[in-house]
Amino acid sequence: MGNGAGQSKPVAGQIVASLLRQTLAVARKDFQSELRTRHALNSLAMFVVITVSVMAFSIGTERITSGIAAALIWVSMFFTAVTGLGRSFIGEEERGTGFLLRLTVPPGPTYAGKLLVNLALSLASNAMLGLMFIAMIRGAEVKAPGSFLVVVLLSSAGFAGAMTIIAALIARAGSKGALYPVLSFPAILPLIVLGVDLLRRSMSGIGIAAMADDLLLLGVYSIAIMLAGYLLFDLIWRE
Amino acid sequence: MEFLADNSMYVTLIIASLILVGLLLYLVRIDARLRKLERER
Amino acid sequence: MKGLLIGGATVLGIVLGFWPAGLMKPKPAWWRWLAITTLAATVLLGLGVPTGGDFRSAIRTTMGRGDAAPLPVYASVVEIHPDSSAVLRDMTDTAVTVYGAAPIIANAGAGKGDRVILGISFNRGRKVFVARRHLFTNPLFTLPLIPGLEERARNIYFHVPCAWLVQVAWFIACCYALLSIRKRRVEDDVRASAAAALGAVFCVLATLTGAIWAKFNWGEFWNWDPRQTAIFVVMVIYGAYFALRSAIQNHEQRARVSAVYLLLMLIPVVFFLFIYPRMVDGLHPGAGSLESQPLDSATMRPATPPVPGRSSAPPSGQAPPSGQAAAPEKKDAGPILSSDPDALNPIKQVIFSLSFFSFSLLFFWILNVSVRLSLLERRREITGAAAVSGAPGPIAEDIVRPS
Repeated sequence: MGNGAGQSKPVAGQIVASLLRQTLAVARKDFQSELRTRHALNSLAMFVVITVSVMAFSIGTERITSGIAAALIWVSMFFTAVTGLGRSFIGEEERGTGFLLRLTVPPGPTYAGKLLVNLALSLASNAMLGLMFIAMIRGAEVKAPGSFLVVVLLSSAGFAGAMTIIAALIARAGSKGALYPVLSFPAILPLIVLGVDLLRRSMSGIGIAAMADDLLLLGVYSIAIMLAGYLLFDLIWRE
Repeated sequence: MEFLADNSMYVTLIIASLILVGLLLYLVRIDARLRKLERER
Repeated sequence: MKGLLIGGATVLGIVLGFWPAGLMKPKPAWWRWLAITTLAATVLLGLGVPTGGDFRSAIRTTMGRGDAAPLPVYASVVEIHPDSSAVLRDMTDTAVTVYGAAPIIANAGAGKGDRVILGISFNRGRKVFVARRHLFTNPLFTLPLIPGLEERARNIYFHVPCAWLVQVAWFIACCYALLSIRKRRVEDDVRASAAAALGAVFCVLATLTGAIWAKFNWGEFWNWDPRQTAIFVVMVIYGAYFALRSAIQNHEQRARVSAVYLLLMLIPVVFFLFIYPRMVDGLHPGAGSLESQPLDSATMRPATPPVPGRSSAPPSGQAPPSGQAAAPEKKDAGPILSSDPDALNPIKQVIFSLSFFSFSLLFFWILNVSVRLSLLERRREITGAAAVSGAPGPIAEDIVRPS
């Protein structure tokens, strides 16, 4: 198989369309194999349930402030991300399907497809986390749901961007599970620094417009880490 | 602590010697690596 | 002019790090002697040049504490009275009668017309200066007394070059990481990892020395000041980098994966060096970006000595420590608070540039040695592996000669 876009000088639009199609194909493949077993989804959902329950039981009947609630949500989001989002490439290496993917799809769409899957997983788990926190923990109230949603969305994007490229790195390192939190922590720390404060403010009722600057920064960082991942992925994915 | 706060020169001396000790420790490590290499030869 | 001095010394230090012999061949003898002498000069001048302030800064510094701790005042002896007091004139032309100074001056063999540095405390009850001890007679150079920093001001000759070299090491490691990806040469990987290892050493040293300094100027060992956060992140990245390296056995794979990780980490590092300091208030002076560091440190600004007057309230909101209360300065006051910094401290600029220069040479010397050592080790590993497998490859044959 050739790599699609090579033979007869296709127009730019065609190339983009082909790359997009390949991206979606990779994402669809992952979603389908996921839906067959529901392994990652189930374990992620259970992890979220268990984390929030541990928090709820540890806090007890105490009523916590929005600052502490935001911090606890972020702790849970961090550990959910580092445990749940790394599966994408390791699965390929374990099943031995990595080289097939390498043969049929160029690195760019592979990365983008995996990123899409991780984005969906991260969004789902973080949304679930937020909802369960609000439901189960006294004091975790969201006074500005709109901005809360935007913060969760942008941080999920950042998590997905950081974890996709780091998962690819760790797959190369022979899938050492303990490396996930270690390697991803520096990449995620800016998200935490920006996100905890944003989440706290959204929980205490500050709207999107009032914290547009920091939201923009969070978005820019998420996009930057995704782009860097895209540029670097090429270098480690190839044999 | 009180003494160090009043005699600030000793704080500087601690800091300078800390850097010296740190670099010395690194030197010792390099030396150990080199000796291992020489033993194998 | 001062920017030129410090910037020039910084650039020259890096140029001399690479220029004769690069990182993989031994440095020539003159180079090593230059490193040793400048380093010795830095230590001698940095610790040896006496501090001597004027009477006003002495009052200001003793404000926050008892009479017990005398401060060095640099003044010329104008007159000696029979009642054991003496009239001294400091550098700002303020003449003051100091009690108990006459016998101290006489014991030191000095007299009228000599310039002396005396340990002087200010008695706030009686509003008089009392001489405690003799420190120096006719010094060639003096350093200014900075209220709140005092002798701790000398830390800029040791702590700041370390922090600077952390960035130099990081930059070198990233450059060679990029090269090792592009050209796939073993040497580039060795240079990148050696620079990272040495950078980690300097990172630990800068963090520890900064923490000790922070204890005495900001009240806590650790304040999560933006720069402390940045160096913490760099330290974690180095840790992760070496954890990643030790997890991969295959050399080529290890070179590529770890290089990619280092380059990926440029994004958080840029965030913590350039964006984060603008978001939160820092304790370090000149809380601007690091890009202006070599130039602006003429005023000792980005050179990052903590300024006591800068943060009126420490982050945790507790009462400032005694040293901190001493300098109720304006918020934008530079670290050289005592008087006109332009006229006063050429010697300080010289020592500071010298320290940057000599620490850079030391850094590159150690880097050079460890790169050469790592190359030897790498070569030995290859021959060892070949010997075990029983079939020496083309590289191994080249090295293992029958002896």
